[in-house]
Amino acid sequence: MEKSNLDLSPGLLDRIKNGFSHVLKLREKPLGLAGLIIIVFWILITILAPYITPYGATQFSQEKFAPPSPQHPFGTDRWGRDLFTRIIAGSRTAFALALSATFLGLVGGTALGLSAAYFGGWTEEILGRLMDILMSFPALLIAMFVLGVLGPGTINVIIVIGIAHIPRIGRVARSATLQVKNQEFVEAARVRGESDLYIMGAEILPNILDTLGVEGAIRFAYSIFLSASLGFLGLGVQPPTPDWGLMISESRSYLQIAPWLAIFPALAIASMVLGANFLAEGLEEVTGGKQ
Amino acid sequence: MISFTASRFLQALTSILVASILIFLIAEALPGDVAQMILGQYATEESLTALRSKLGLNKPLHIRYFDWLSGVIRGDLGTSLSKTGVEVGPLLVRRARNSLVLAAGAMIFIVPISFLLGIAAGLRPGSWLDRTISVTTLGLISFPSFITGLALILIFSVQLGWLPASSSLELSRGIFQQLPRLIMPILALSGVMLGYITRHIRASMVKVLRSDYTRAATLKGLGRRKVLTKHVLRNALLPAITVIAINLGWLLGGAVVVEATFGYPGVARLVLDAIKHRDIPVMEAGLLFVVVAYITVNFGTDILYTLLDPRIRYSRGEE
Amino acid sequence: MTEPLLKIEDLEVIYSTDRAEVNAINGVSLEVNSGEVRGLVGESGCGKSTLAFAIMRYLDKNGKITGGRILFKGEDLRKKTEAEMEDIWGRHLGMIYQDPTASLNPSLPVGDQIAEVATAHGLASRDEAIQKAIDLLDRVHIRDPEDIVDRYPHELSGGMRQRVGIAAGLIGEPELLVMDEPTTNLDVTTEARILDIVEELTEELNSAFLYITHDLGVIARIGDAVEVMYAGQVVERGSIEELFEEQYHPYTKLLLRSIPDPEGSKGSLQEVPGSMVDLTDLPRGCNFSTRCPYRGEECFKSEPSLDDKSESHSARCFIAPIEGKVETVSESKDTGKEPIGDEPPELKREDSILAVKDLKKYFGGGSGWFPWADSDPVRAVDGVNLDLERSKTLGVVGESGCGKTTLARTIIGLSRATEGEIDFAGKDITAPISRRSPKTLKRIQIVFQDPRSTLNPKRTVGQAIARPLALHGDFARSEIPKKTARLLRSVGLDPSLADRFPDQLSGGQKQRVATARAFATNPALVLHDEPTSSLDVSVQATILNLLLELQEGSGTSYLFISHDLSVVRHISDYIAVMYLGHLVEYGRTGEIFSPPYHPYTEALLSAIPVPDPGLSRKRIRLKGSVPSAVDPPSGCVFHTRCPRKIGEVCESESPPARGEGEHKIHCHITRDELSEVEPVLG
Repeated sequence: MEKSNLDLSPGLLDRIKNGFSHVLKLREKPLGLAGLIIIVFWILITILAPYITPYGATQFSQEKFAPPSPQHPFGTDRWGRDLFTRIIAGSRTAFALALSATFLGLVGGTALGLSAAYFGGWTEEILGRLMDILMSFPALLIAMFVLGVLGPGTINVIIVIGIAHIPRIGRVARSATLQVKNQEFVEAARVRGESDLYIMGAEILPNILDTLGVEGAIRFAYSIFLSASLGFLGLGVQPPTPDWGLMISESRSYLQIAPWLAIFPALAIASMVLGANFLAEGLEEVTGGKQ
Repeated sequence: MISFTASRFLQALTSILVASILIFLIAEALPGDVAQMILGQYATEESLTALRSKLGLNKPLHIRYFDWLSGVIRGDLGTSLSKTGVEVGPLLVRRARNSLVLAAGAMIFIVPISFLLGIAAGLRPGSWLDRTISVTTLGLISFPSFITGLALILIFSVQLGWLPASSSLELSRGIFQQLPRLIMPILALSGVMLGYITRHIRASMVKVLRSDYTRAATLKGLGRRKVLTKHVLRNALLPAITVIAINLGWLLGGAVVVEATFGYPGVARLVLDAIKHRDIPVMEAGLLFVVVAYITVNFGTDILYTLLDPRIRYSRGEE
Repeated sequence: MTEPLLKIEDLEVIYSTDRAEVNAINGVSLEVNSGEVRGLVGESGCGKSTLAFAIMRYLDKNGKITGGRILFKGEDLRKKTEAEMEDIWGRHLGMIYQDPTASLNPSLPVGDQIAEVATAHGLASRDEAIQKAIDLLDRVHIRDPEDIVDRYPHELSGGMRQRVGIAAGLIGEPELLVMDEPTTNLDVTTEARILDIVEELTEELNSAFLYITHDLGVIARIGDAVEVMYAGQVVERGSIEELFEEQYHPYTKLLLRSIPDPEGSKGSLQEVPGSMVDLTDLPRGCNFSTRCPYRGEECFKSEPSLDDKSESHSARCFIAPIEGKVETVSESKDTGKEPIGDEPPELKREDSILAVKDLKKYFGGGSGWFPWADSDPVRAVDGVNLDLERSKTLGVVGESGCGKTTLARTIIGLSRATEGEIDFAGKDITAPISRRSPKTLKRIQIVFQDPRSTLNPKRTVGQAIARPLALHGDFARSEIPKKTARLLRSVGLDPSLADRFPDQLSGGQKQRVATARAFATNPALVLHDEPTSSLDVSVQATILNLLLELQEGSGTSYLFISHDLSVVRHISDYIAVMYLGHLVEYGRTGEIFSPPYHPYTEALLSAIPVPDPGLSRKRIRLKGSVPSAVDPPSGCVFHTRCPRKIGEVCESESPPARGEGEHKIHCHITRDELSEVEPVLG
């Protein structure tokens, strides 16, 4: 049936408009709005990083353990590096990592969850069991384990976190698909002879995008959370890359003499995760997932 | 009911089996030669070959898997590679006991508080109390436990000096004498979970309060208290059992960050160290423990839930 | 004259939403006296349920009573505190709900849920209350009430749950019982039994009943007087006899004529033009002026009041009484509809378009994961034979669980047939969709039941119709917009609607779009799976008229699935009656509606609520509920409930098809004996 080529285009513009209108509706939800502001703030920081950082991220100096001061707003670490600069540089690491991992998880999880729910039967049984088993490992443990195999490093962290997301996103995609798949418009598409790919891509997917968007925001928050934890355990991004979790890990020996080394990265992590979680909550409210 | 329990049991067993294969395969995929690691980099080729055959490393993969599995079933988990001569079994039991103490402590703390907060928030959705609890719980799930942990250390150890920063337990002493060492790890571990469970209960309360049967009960003139105790709470809190079970499983293995922050000797840190030292027998045993714990708890919960919920009891009894 | 039990004066209720304020109740005054059954009738959005919950003083959070008084036993309920209401609820003012399943607590035995009303109000101790519950269950004709009190709601059938609801409403012996569509979710034979019970109760008790329904047929049967509501107002009020005899308000008049008559035949139904007025933006004059075919100048200027037209009959209308007969108004006729389809269909009337031979569809069953998990299949369709001529309509009728929807899904290929054969225009098409040729696919289409889910919410009307055109049409893509517009016109919609999303359309409009989508591929056979059952009767009339018109223009054959015998009678040339996966009777429409009947058909016919209070009919009621399709009764599947069971043969042998021409009755009773009964209708 060569005519059933995937034509996603007609609704695409509307969908973008629709997504945009969700963001506009956030204005009425204080929590979501706060989340949006925090995330936009961090996006701006990330983009503007080269222009607002006074020093190099790995630039050493003699001023070791300098407390916060006008020259070094967040103080310096044991190598005399400027913490303000390193936190801003760290936001790039965090964003790149969390975005890529979330994307990976969304693509993988949606593909698995959607097809499991759509095809049902044995496909669903096997995929479902596999995801259940994967879920029975705490995400952090899988991450540790796989990083043990692959070795630490930014790319590996992305892959690991992305994989850890897959069963969870898969579950969400699956239950969202189950709600749509037996609706009459999907059956109407089957009755007129659409291909499975068309039905999944053009009939079902647009209707679970809202749910996936909310889940994406939650997973983004969790990515930051996880990568910070991995950095803290020494399994994530390796020095000298500026990474918030790593910074906190390194600060532990100096908690008594230089608590700012722990406090500022902790605030950075917490604010970004909180922002994403607030945003997810707001999105859930405006897309009607929650009252 | 019996047939349901039996099939559910077989399912759990299958899951454990599949998980054990995954664990074994990933451990196998770890880079590095075990024999080389034990004997050091100056070992001769003969001694390496000898050790490999002694460890059974030259046997085919599936044979080694079954050797390992049969060992596990017999209770023989092998010896540690990094801590020479240490039996993995007793080591795991000690660490598991510590993890259990931590998990139980966290649960005792989490369950009543999250129930109270969740019910209070769910009773009046949209009220200031609900909003406060919602924001607080979102905050709780946004702080990784090492941040909470470090904050606690900064306040209670560094500033106030009330509690010890390290929580390495001494085995000779009883749990209660070491309670001060447990307080901070328990608090740090509880944060995220407290947030999750509270939010879940709130959502469940809101749903049940909006149900037609709650409306019907109200319009029977039972009075608000009776409507709540007899109709709302039971239906709203029952699903929380599942959520708690999932989190209990998580607590046993997912506490790695907390254990690392406080130097607490639990299973998760055992696995973390084993991964760092390529100590494969310890790693495999630790992971298998976590998975078995998780699956067992969930199996138990399923059975419990079935006994408590007449709807499920009925439909499953029919099978 | 004594004070009425309930007296509502100028009640107003407003719902605040994000966008606007919805004027749900706009000045309702009414009275309910002890010992009477007052009906409250109207279509969706008329405010009848809001009124019920306003009386109970239990509106949704965003709803507010903004004016008027609710005098119950002389006291204004609006002035009562929540604590005072708690003493009234259940004890003096009871309620029975539309959805018996959702209204019962799933984790509490039903006995407790009935008894707790009595104990909470201090009427009885717990043991006495349970005994009372048992007595009441007995009174609503539940067998083994001692056993039932310990059961949980999910263990009971829908009809039993509603009886439990009624028992819970009665146990406090309230002076007023508000019944909010208590039979709407039930099958027609179950509904008939519940209505019998309500009738008995209203005769025995001195309580007052406010009976809310959308179904004029139901109220004609059990009401003493009726209030007709439209747009938050009572537009007409009268005793049952008078109101059904003559209607003063144009809305009532049109509404009553839009109901398919179970005694009538194929032909255009009266339509109520336009759609429900926007409650956020009411017109200045009469609320019905936007749709009224008789409106005059004054109707737009000021609002009519509810005036007495005779002693016990009043209407809110300037024009009333309308003189003479209502002229048939078919809204769609003026929009210049175009005939559907491109080429004249190849008409050979006598040819068979669809032949179903011994079709079986079983679900599940077989071996499970473990030996003890093996189960028997659900026999949804169990050996059905059908034959449909070109350009004709075959109606398939039966209650929920009879297999009619599965039959349609198997014919169209959404389900794989377990056994049997499906021939389409002489060709075997038994395979599921994935193995049917594109040519077959485009020639058979389906229109589904639920307007809310029939269209993809993320696609415009235009996209929904253009897609099948692009997939199956053999013409240039540039022609698609033109053809889309033409299809929209032919289902009576303005082509400008093509840019709308489904949530911007009314339920009736969505069903029209779904119809246009089905007709886009120029099908020879269209299956209709309860296409009007989620719609108001006035909208149903417009859809049924449209379907008849389309068939006339295109010669398309229909397989029309419905639970509603009146609708099926109205649209079908042939009717098949199904019960528990089996065909029990098949014949021309006229043959189904007059003796000889299959005993099940006879029971169905006697259960239809007919909007004619003068009509007295035989009462044939079925015992128990439909048996499980996993383990259907042996012999004749209907024998467990059959009022005319003749003996052992019914349990042991499957009944022969007793035919005369095309008319076939599957029954052990001889045709002559079956012919001896009185006709149920007329």
